Amino acid sequence: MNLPGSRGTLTAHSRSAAIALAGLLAGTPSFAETQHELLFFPSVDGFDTFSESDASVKDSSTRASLDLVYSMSSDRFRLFGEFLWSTQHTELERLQAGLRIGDQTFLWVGRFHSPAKFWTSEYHHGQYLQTSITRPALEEWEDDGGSYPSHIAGLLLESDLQWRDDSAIGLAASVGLAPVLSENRLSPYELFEDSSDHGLSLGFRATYRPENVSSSQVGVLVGWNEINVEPGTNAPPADSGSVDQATLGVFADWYWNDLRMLASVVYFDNDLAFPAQNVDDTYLLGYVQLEYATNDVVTVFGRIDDGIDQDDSAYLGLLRNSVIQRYMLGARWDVAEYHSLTLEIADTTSGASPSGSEDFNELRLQWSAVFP
Amino acid sequence: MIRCKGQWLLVCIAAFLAGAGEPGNKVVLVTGAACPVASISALDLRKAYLGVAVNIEGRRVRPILMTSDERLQQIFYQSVVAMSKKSYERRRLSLMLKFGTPRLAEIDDVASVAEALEREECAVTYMWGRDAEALQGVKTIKLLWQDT
Repeated sequence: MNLPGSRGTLTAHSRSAAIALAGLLAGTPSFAETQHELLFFPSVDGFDTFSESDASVKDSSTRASLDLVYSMSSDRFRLFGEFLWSTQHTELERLQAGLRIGDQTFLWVGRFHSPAKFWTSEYHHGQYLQTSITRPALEEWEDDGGSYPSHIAGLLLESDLQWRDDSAIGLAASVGLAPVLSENRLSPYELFEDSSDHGLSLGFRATYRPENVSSSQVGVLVGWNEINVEPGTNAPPADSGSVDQATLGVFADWYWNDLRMLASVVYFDNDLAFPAQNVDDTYLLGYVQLEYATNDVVTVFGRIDDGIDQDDSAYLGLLRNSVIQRYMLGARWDVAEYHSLTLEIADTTSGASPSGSEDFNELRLQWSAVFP
Repeated sequence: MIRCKGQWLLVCIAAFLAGAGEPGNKVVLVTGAACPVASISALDLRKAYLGVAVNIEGRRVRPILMTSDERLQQIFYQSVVAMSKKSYERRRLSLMLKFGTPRLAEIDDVASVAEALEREECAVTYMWGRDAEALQGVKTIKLLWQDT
């Protein structure tokens, strides 16, 4: 079986982008006013997949990852990159240049993470900063069976507005290139790629924070993506054509002392236009994750990933490795400053009809850290 | 045996006294003498240290972390940002990961404070009151904490 994250690729585009980032790091001018930041997020995780009723899903694997985040900032200008290396996948995740056009407003150009996905905008690839090992099904990366775009190339505007009562509204809007559907997964635009098959992507997020500096927040997510099919690379019926995908969602990240809740629900309206099939496909996907800090070093957590009508979605049925339901429990132990060990168990369903679904259990163990 | 216990008791009392703040000790917020900012609210100061752009009298406040001693850092977490060290560090890392926001500058040596505050207009940092009084070219703009 194909497990999430089991793709092993290092494309020519990734290599070009990696070389570009390395050149950027080496050639960065050292103005006195310019600040440089470099963070490393390493992690090693092992997982075991098994089912009492279906021996064919038995699998186990170990993956090591290193996420490198670099920024160069001056008062008006910022250059920002994120490069992920792992034993199974290597990619320049983000490379964006930003201009400050207000105290709390940046206009970015480059490749960035979609503002229309909450978890993605919150944790990016910084594994150490997220409590759980797995991401919610709704928030999966494209190459792990994600059902809507995470990586966009184009323009991104981010702004923070503060009100007199000290509450704040955060706004983020993007316009750029959407992924294409290739080999039954979404394939985002890679920098230096010469393909012109990518359609239009629009994304928007509005966030309300009751206090400007509070960690609690709620918001809305809106997206529209024209996902073109790369001809001849997908199983029928998606031989050619396109998927117009509209999304509307809400999210919340709320703290009550030692208890935290992360939740998001997104409504999908997919218009599938294939030579042999035209379908208007709608469903709802969402998750609720609760985290409880039992003391300063141990946090227990659980998450429900579920939806409405997602299990017979024609669109999700096109995607490989798409998790449609997961019930998960876990515990995280912060063993030292900037180091943690996390354990997760889950009951998972992957794949939607008509391609058929698989039910299995997952056991995961992870070490994650951040340097410096 | 009793004598041995007595020695341990004395050691404990001495350690306790050494760790306790002296009455009258205070922690103050300082900036360069050339900065026109004369005061800052506790809320604005907290925002500045949590990564929000804060302007006072048209000048951007530029916070610097003072890491010269552990007790001073504890007072900073309790009295300035009102959060644990762990939460504060996670926030700083998160801002860097999300927006590429550079982490705040740090000073670990009291002797470097005057130079750092002079180099960047309206840079602010916190320090023991007695150290601030001994420095040339800096001015105190806020009392942050006082031992009672």
